[in-house]
Amino acid sequence: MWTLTTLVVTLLIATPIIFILSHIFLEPSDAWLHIKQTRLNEYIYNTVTLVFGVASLSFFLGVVPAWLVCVYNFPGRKFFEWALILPLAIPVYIMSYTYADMFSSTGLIRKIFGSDSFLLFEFKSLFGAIISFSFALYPYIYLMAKNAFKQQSVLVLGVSRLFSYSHVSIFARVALPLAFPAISAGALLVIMEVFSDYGTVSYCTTPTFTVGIFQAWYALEDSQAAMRLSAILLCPAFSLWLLRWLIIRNKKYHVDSSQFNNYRFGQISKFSRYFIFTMCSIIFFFTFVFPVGQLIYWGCQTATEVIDKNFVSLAINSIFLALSTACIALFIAIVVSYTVKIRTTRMTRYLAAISKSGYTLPAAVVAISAMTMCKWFDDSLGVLTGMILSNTLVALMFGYIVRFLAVTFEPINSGFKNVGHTVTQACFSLGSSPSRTLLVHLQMMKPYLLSALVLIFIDILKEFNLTFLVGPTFDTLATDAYSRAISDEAVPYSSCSALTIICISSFFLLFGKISLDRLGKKS
Amino acid sequence: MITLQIENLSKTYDKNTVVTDFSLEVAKGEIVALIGESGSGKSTILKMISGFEKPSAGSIEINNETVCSKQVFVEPENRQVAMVFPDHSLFPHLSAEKNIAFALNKHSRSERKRIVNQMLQLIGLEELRKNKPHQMSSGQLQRIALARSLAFQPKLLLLDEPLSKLDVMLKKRMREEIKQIITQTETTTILVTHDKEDAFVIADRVVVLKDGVTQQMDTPEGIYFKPKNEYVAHFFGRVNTIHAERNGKGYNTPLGCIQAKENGECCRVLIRPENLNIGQQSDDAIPATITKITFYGQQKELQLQLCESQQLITVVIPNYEKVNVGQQLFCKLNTEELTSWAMV
Repeated sequence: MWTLTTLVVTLLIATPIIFILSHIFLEPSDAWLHIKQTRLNEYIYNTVTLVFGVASLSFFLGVVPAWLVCVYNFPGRKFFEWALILPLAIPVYIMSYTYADMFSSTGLIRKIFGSDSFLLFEFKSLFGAIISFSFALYPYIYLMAKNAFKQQSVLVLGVSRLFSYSHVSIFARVALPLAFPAISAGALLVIMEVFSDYGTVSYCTTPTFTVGIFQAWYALEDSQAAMRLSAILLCPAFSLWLLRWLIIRNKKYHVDSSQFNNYRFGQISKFSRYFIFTMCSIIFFFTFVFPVGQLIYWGCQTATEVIDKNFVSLAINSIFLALSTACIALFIAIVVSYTVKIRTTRMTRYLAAISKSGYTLPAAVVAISAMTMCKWFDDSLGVLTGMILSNTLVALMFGYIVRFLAVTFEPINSGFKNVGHTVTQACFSLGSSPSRTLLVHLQMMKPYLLSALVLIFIDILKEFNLTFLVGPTFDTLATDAYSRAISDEAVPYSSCSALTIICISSFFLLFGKISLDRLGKKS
Repeated sequence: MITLQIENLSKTYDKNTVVTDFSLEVAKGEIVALIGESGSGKSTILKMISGFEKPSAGSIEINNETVCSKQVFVEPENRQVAMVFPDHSLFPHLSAEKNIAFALNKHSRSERKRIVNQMLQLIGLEELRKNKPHQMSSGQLQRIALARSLAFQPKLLLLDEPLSKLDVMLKKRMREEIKQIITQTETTTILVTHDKEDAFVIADRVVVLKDGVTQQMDTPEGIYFKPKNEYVAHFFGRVNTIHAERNGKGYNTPLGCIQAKENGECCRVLIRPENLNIGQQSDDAIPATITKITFYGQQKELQLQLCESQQLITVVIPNYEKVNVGQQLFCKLNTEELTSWAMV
């Protein structure tokens, strides 16, 4: 039964990919030929430049602070260790329009430095998009790198130190190569977000593949061209994952030792300590304090006009949608991971790998395929007027689950691994059924369940692209913030929705961290 | 020449003292083992020597240079002390030869190559030079870790339970190999272990620790045959604890009279089972009944109840001797060849 359930779930998750790939072999439409002749090169150039720019800047913003908080003692280290995760609560498009306003003709920069300042530049550009993505997404790399650096601390802070290497040498020769799998995974998550995004690139007038998919679907009303663009976008996404897999396969990077977790490099000079403090402060200021400060300023001006009954119901809708979808995804991830644990066969392992592949799919690709599938389902039932699945909450939730299921898998898998095989074997040897054994596991996995829930909840709450495409009839805080922000006059009015998203996400991040700390201490 | 001198070293975490007034002198080329149960403070002492932990009190000198005192603290990277960790801690992304070469960052390329070859030859793993750690066995990994530390030419080598993760057979072989390699390179070494055989085979001197306090410091023979207290006696093997009372120049025990110079009317005598003989009835032999027989392969251990005093004692006999539970026999304390006894 467990394997069958996993099979069904996996087939459902894999359907979008199959659906898209099946459209590549159809006859190209006129709209596709038009896109190919006029826009395709621009889409490729912008997408590639954006990916390189964002990956490089995010790498610097994520890896350097992660290294610093892991190996040095400096003022505010404990604060920065979790505070640098907070930009994860800010959706990229919100980051882009807060910064765009600061650099606009009436913005803060011009007011402070004057209209001739060298700091002024057109933020609604490719460069602005790179900054927005990097500032909002670097925590993915930061989190992964920090965990990797902590795990390898016996080699970095134990062995390498004893052999009298300089700190820079240890970083370059030991820490970075060992953290490559984690950092590359974080970088790929960032790149997938760049592939997925529509809100930021369209706001920054930098048409990428995703913009092309949206235009083909809405402006040209050509689903086939949209599918073809989606299929092309799948190629670099899969290629990058494949490349990473080829590099790290057959290599062992894992260092199993926690005895040096609380160790740091020895006393560094006062100048170095304050230099590191200043560096972390600057990163935190520009990626969180500055944009949130701007939003709070706008929020104070517009709150009385924006916050009404509709706004409250919008917030409740968003939380309800995010929480219910997160719970369903969590349930699916538990079932699939548990099946792999108790019925370990080649098939179950492949099924689990396929279930996780959704994160490699750009949001627009998931959205297009979910909509096409729902349309096909409605058409095949012969429903002409009404829509059973198309543009409904079910289609939206399906899209969210396909896209974000992988986010929940990591913590859930770690949880099952942490419980260990002996507990499972002990339960079965005492005559416990698989379901009862699962309950025993879940009780021992509370921190991991909480992490999974928090991660997917925040991702869904922030998600704009999928919601905008799949469920135009269903407004969320994210779509509300975006629709107000694209009109220049109404930018400040978007701040309440944006702040609500950031507050709820930050609250969940902090709540998750505090609960995890408590559970960690108990265990 | 003294390589390591530790004086009154103490370590306290919050209000929990884990090491109390630990002092030690280690001569050049000597191998000293720190042994004790988990939580006895042995690894903490090792971390204080390497510089990963700051002592709460006391001082450490390496080659007559103070590396740690009230005023001085030299960071681990500046102590020239190498350490082999329990899980070998080799770099998983580097081959065997690159792992060893990692310790030679200040040498020229040709010099590095020469030392790596020399080390690989020393540990007998020349053919595995290109292998990554995951392609080698636990014993090979531990040898590479040792070679890496020795290539560094440290003033002091610290071995933190280097054999704890090996199986029994491999452990036995590795003990001898480690001893041979360290002796060959004349490296001053501190070994931390909880296994008495590791300490006895590898070390020249053994320090027994309990709750952060030194119980005894002696050669392996001294520790085994002349334990200073019951803890040390029990830690290193089976022992019979027998009540003794003064009688003229000696002490009367249920097993006979022992000549001793100790003062006091009463004491307890600790006697190893191998110092009790089983034999024929005689004037000084004590009758006893076998209550339990345990087969240990090389020998059998008998639990006997002395007929007069009803005291339970343990003796060992060769594995081919045929005995049964309930059988009566005579045991005799071999006072002339008595080597393993102590009075506490």
